[in-house]
Amino acid sequence: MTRKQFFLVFMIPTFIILFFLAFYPLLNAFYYSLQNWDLRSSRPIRFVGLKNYIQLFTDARFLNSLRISLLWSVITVGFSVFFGAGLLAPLINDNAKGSFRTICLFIFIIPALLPRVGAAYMWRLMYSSSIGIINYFLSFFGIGPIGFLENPSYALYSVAAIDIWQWSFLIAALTIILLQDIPKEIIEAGSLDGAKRWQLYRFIIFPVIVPPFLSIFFIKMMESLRSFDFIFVLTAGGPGVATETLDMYAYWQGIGSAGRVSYASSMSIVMLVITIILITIVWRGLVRWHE
Amino acid sequence: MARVNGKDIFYKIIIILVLLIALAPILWMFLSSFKSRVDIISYPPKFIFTPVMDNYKRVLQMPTLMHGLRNSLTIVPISLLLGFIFGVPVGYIFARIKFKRSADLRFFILSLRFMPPVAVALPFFLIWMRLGLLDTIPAVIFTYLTIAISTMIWLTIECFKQVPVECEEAAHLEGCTQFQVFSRIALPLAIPSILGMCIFIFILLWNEFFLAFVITSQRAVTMPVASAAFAVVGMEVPWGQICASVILLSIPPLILSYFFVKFLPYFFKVS
Amino acid sequence: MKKSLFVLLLITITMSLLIIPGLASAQNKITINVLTQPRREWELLEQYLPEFEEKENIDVVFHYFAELERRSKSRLDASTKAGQYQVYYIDEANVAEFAVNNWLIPIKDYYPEEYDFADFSEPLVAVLTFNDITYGAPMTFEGNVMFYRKDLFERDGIAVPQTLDEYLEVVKHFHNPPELYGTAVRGLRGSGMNVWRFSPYLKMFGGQYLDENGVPAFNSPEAVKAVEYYIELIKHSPSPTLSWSDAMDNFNAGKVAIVEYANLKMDYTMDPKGSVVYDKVGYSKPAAGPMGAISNTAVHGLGISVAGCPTEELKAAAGKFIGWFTSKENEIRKVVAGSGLTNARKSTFASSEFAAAYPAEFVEAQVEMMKIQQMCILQIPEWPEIGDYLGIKLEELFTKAYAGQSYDIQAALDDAVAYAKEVLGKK
Repeated sequence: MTRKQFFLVFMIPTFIILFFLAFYPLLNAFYYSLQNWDLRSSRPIRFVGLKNYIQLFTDARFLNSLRISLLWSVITVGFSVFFGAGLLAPLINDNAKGSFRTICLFIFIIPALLPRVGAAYMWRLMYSSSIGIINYFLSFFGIGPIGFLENPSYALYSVAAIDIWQWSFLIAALTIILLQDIPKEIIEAGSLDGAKRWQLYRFIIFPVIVPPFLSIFFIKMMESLRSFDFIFVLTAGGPGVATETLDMYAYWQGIGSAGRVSYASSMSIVMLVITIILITIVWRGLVRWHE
Repeated sequence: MARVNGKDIFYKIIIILVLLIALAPILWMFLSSFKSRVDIISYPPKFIFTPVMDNYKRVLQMPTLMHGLRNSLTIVPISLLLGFIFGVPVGYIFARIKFKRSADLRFFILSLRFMPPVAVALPFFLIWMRLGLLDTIPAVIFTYLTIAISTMIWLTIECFKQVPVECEEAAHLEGCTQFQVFSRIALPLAIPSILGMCIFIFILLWNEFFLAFVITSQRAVTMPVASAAFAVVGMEVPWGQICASVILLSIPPLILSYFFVKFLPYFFKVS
Repeated sequence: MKKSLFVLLLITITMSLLIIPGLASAQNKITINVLTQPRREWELLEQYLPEFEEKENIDVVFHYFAELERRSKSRLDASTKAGQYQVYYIDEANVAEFAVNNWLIPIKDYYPEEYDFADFSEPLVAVLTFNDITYGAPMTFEGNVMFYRKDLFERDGIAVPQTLDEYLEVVKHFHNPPELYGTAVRGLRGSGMNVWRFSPYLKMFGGQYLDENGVPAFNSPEAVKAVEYYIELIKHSPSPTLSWSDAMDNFNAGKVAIVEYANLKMDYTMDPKGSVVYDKVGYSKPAAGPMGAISNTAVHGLGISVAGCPTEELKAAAGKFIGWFTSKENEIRKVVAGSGLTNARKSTFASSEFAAAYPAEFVEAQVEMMKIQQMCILQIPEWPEIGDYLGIKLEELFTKAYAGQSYDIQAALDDAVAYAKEVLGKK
């Protein structure tokens, strides 16, 4: 089999599937966004042009949710990557060997495997200011009770903490797996030069795993933009709209209470455009930084 | 030497603390799963109590939950396998074969994941409705293929790039076909990291809630959807049953991921 | 090389073959798909389901979703005419919407006579009725009963409050956090949460959602007073964002002195496995405001889907299922099994089984409550949206008040009214 045959045999089926699965829903969503389709009413569906899009930018809740989504993504991606890859992975990689290492890896994956909705309910109980265990421990230090989920200023961070808890361990596990593939010689060469541990990581080990790691980073970013379930269970977007991300708001407008499919679709299209722009910027920036 | 040992122990202690942070909430859920409702809501929190098995009994008696678990155990591995079949060779192509618009296509693949689920869920619902496939396992698998294939391609590109080019060139010189180079040289060398990525995709699919919520109802209901339904009985939160279900439903993927971490790399290395 | 490709293909094909047979489930038997939410009494009656299935030769499948998801699912199914379900679980919040859009078949046409529709309590049937047509058979309802800690009241020699002012005084008297909170009220936004609980207060203070002309008017001075009162209760609660479940969990944990709460919660409060204060609770009817005492009624019932029942045969089968499910026999089964409050028949509430299952004091409070029950939320199709928005505004006020930040009730209500006017097209 020549290169060309190999290329065609594998690329064509895959891309046919992807184009169908991606463009059909996407084009549909765009099509809906130009209409006034509302699940709640049986009036005939009409085209309204860009009306939904114009309405979006006068909708204070939409603008608020944009801000919350951005904040949420920055916090959860930043901290999970920092804790996971920056602190936990080197710690385990250097200090745990053999089966202890496998056990660590294994345990790190567990938080991500929990059914998220169920786990979120449990966190809700643990966060409770009157009967929760976290405030119970804090009371030993004379702190609290703290209204983790009910104070508009902390709620977003409290929910984000759970997401970070779940993801930083997973990211750590994946980073450790990536680190295993680094040839021993590179590390040994670095150690001989008398480099400090963190320098070794900063200048020798991390650069090697940066490209695969960036891929994970992007996926985590995608996932952050859609971590709907935790917020839905823990605060339902509240207090008020303090934790209402774009995803929550689009759900509420589209399939949730309001049933305005077209409006929610236009919101999603705007979200898509913003994501593409942001990711392109981040992508270019990272590529340049890496070079 | 003694100093080094001291440092060693210090790090070991830190690692154990870290493991505790990872596990403490889960241990608390485990403990709570054996409590009756009154013990769960009482304050100060109870560490010593009379364990009851009621929660587990009830969870195991819920047909939908077990049904959801079975469905997830069918849907996720099949989607993952199909993702592997369709995605990994393409990842290899992106890593090794230069062609026009390669960078653009790569970005397109990533961009498939940008779409908010709220927007794509409804079109999917309507397609499967028209095809009469609503609430069926194939519909869910097809819907998940976007996630599985695109993530698989995106993540394996870099795995293949880590494979030394020299090995492949040598194989080419010895007259291997492109497929042989891929299947006998590149894939086995890259497999440990690819399997790591597979765990990752497995978890993404395993936890996917929104799309499954919209396109399934009972026959093809997945585990996250089924367990979300039971998280509120009427409007009552059945804490004990939630804990029991969280524990029970985590076991199968746990075993699977252990398998991934421990055995699969050897399997591939031997062959 | 060709071999490996062939193997790949084979795997794919086998896999598809494995799946596809699962699709074709051709059956001659009628299947009734019921969209519902998990509840204790559904679990219970599911055990008796074979009895119905054998008698009528009908298969019944329950599709369980949590309350909010169940509402979204039923709307999606009805609106797109997907017709996945023959029977919908309906409630006070969506009957109007379903009725206006003709998504439900009038229930009385298909409710079998043998099951006696007239036995359902009239105020409950009224909630599932829109423009004089009844769309659902009620199966459970919720109204407010006062639960108070008898032991604490006796210790301090405090009388059971009769008016809202007395009630607030009692709440303040006992409030001593973090050991004991005066009360616990729902503050979380969302359907069935803060707005549901707030609505009777709005009425008791003389406010209303719509004025005579159907224009939103819940920013009146009376409405502001009602919010002020509610905020006082929130300030004496363990948290400003309690959900339906959380509020009573706090009471059952012995952390709260007095609540007015859903009668349904009694099944947990009197259970030693569900409450540490099960033997220390007194019951009374709700306290009265300036406009008298009002208990908000919430009713859940079953209705027949238009989209899911294209044939007469299916409609009749769906009617038979609803009839069986809400039958007298099944209601008594629920009473005996400890879910006696999730019922809707006059005969059940008057039965000896019911009297034996609950303390006399509670039964009396419930009887009094049923006399003052009213549907306090709006019965219009736009309600879900208006109610949710108001819930968000209220939650903002509550959390700010609780955290000691400044807040503006009038502005928040004006905002919610403006939104409601827009939704109703009354700008």
